[in-house]
Amino acid sequence: MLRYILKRVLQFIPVFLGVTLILFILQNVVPGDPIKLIAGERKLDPVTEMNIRAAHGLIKTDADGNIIYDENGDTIETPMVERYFDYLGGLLQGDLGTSYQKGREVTEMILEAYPYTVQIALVAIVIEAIVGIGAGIISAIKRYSFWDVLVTLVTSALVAMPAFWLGLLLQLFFGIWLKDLSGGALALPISGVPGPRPQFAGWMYYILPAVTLAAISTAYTARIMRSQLIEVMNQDYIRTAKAKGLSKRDIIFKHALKNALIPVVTYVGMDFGAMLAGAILTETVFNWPGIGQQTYTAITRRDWPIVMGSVTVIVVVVMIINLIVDVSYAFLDPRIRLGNKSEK
Amino acid sequence: MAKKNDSYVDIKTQPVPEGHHLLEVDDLKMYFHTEDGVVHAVDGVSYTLDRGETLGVVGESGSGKSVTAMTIMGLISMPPGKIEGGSVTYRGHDLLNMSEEDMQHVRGNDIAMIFQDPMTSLNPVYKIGRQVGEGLRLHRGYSKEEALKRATELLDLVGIPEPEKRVNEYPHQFSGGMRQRVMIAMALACDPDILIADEPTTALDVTIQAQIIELMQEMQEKNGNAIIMITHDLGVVADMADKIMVMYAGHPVEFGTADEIFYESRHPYTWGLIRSIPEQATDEKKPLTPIHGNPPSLVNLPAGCAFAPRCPYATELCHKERPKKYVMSDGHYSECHYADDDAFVKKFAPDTSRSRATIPAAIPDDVEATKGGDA
Amino acid sequence: MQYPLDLDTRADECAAAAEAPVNAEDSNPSRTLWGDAFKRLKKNRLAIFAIIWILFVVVVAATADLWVPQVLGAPNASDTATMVMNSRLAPSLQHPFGTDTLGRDVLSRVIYGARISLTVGIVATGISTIIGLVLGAIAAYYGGLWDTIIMRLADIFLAFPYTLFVIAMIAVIGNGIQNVFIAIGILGWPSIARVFRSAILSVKESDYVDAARSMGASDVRIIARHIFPNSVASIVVYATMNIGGAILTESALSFLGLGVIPPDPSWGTLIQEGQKFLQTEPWLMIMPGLAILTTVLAFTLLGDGLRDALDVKMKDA
Repeated sequence: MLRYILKRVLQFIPVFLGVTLILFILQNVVPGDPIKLIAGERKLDPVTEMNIRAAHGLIKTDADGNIIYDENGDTIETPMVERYFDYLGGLLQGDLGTSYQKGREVTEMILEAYPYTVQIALVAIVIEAIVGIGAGIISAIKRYSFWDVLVTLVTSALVAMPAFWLGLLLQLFFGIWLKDLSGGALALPISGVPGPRPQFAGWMYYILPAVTLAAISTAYTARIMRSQLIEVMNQDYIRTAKAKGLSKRDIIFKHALKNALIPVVTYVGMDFGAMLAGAILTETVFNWPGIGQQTYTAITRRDWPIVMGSVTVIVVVVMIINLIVDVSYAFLDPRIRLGNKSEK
Repeated sequence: MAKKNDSYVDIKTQPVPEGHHLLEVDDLKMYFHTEDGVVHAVDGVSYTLDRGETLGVVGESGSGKSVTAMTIMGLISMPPGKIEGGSVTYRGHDLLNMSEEDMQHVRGNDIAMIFQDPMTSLNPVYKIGRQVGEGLRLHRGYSKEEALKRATELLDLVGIPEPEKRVNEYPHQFSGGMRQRVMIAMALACDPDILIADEPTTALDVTIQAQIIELMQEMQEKNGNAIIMITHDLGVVADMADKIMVMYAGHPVEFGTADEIFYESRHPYTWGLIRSIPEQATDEKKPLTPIHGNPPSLVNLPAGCAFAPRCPYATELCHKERPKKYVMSDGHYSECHYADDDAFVKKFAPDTSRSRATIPAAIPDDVEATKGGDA
Repeated sequence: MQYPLDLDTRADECAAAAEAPVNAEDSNPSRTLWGDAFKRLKKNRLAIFAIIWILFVVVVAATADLWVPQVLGAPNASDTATMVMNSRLAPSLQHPFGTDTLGRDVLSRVIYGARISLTVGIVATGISTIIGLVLGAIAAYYGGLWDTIIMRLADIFLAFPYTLFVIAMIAVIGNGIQNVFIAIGILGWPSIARVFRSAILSVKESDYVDAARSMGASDVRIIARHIFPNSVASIVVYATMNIGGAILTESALSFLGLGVIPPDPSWGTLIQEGQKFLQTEPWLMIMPGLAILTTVLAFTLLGDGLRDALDVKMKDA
């Protein structure tokens, strides 16, 4: 098992380098000078601009941080390759650079935004697991019943709608119409995070964004659960269990469910990884200051250190989650856990 | 998973009513209602079985032999299946009209079943010990520890080495033959009255096949249970079965003792099956003769004898009219228009049959005749 | 020849009599993959609804220039007077979906938006399918180093957070519909490449490919004539489902203001414009969303129907 984990980590390294390298190349071909964008319409004075460039390693400096000039008295632009290695070197020391726009440490900014993304992802994954698995089981057991048709219709609609639109609809239903209907007594917050003087109880802020984030994956979870359970119920070992005299209830919950859950748990786990990557649209619609929104804003402002830093963190987190999912898969399924041993 | 009802009396401990057999299947019909039409999977099967007896049910795939067994066990989902007639009586209890809860007591406890593919018939995520002991916990109210202890004994009994270690392993760690032994241990856990084995050796190597059959016979000697052995291979039941029922297209075409089927058969389909037993062919230094063609669709059965399209001796009569049931000696019957035609039998039956000099005269069974002939 | 002929005739009659019931059951002669698939598809009511809806949307969008400006009003043009007068009218007979803040008919804009969304969906899917097919074919057929490089590249593309990647891509190449095609098209290839690669691998070793190779067929010919037809079913299913996904991505980009350039209407831009009036004129946001929902749903249902009809096993959920 340890060897497997090590192998996966080693396999991840080229993928990680590839992702960051592509992103690095992208930022260098993007039109627009990010430093000139800092001040917006106003022009920076040349000395300040030069100093900013030097601070971000965009032009060459000596060991003491003094700018190096060429024979013409111009600054020397740091080549892309060199800057990429600078980035990797910084990364090894846990340094992701400094934001062009805000002048703040990227690590600090990510540490500020990421908890919001993690919180919402945790709530969403709980919703997804409970609702998705529950609906899938009911749908599979009561096949072709009213509930099955309902689940099928709702899941089909959910996977076909844009998440941001669903978010807006939820805002309309629970933030606006519900408020109007109840004369202002009932409503859910539709924007932002719980502040120091919350208008609503803190937990209420999580409901709509988490539901929006969870909705589509919940639909997929329910569909996978349903099809897996139906498939497992057709297996020979279910017939064996029935021939033993087990009741339908015991057959489903003791013999079928454990088998059917294996791929579902894998999907939910992978999806948790995807949620931790930050949801740009959900976070934008709900004005939720997570890493998705932060990265999106950074892209539009060409604030590359933030983009690079966020993507680095996201890709690593997703990789770790996927690895955990794969390892736990082996623990759920004895065939894989002991696979190597029995084959010998 | 404690025993469901302590006051429940196992049917297998109740006496067989006077004048009845342990298991009586009478004119059983199980049809499947599908989009393509009604599939006549089991179409009038009758037989009886007593303790210690072995019944061989032989036929090609799709002849309805498995469906018959699954119907007795109540394992057919309805719909699409539907019982269209007949009865199954076990120690005087009507199995077809039993409540699902009572049926759960019968399954695995009174009547147990072994399936064809041991590779897929065990739940991959549970340890062997748990799966073997499950029936004991359910029907006998054993504790977890008791069930595991008994499961270990059972594995030992069916010849699995190191049972103490093996109970804690998973199905994929067992070979095919070992898994089928596990299935037998599982089926025998509650000392069932009847053991139904549905092609138990088909998926196994030839050498393992013999071992599994021997094991089943050994267990039968010890426990005195009845066995219904379902197979497409007449050779498998040759030494084992007391009675053999040959099925074709959902319907028994010949029924008799093993000797009668092998040496006095009066049905061309049985002859075909005998000729296609490899050992038989080598012994006689005769080429292996396959039965040509495929079994008929069970939706649109031929108007006449179902076997006629493939029968090398079929005549116009065969294509037009369903054959009557010709009852020969005690219980031996054949559904062939020419079953009572000694000259026909003498001419076409395999050598093994003709070697028997005396062929008793057949008497047509009139009741069955009118029934079958009009269909 | 007389004698044997006589015997043959009799045998034939017997055989015909015997087999008559079997033949009656098999009265439908079409036994090809696509014929069978079409028969099964016809039985699938949802898939038929989906086809009808897609055709309806396509026809309405294609013929829009002929009638929409006259009946509903032009999607973009609007003079100041009507602008003030018609600004944000509630749905009525004249304006079934109401009007937007500039007095433009929303239904008209949704119809013109359909052109953009459908085009993006189909063209982007076309681009990713072609890239995916070529790279998948190279990876599977040549294996070795090619396979490693291409599949690692696919891993890298899939490791990227998708939305982020598209946005970054648009940031590089700029807004506008062509760039949306390119961004979605380029980023969509890895899944198709994987599907095609495994499809090829499963048929590559089959006997008929060996046979073709032994007869001296060229690699391209083997792929085009022997392997492609055998994996085309899974590609068709995958591409159909992908169209819906591309439409969704385009709407997200336009919603963020990274897609089509205003005043051109796209369903995503319409939602974004409507968002501001969520409290007062919610239909501005609801209607284009419904257009996306129904169209994407139709492509998904059609994909499901094709999958069942063609009996394609989908590997990833």
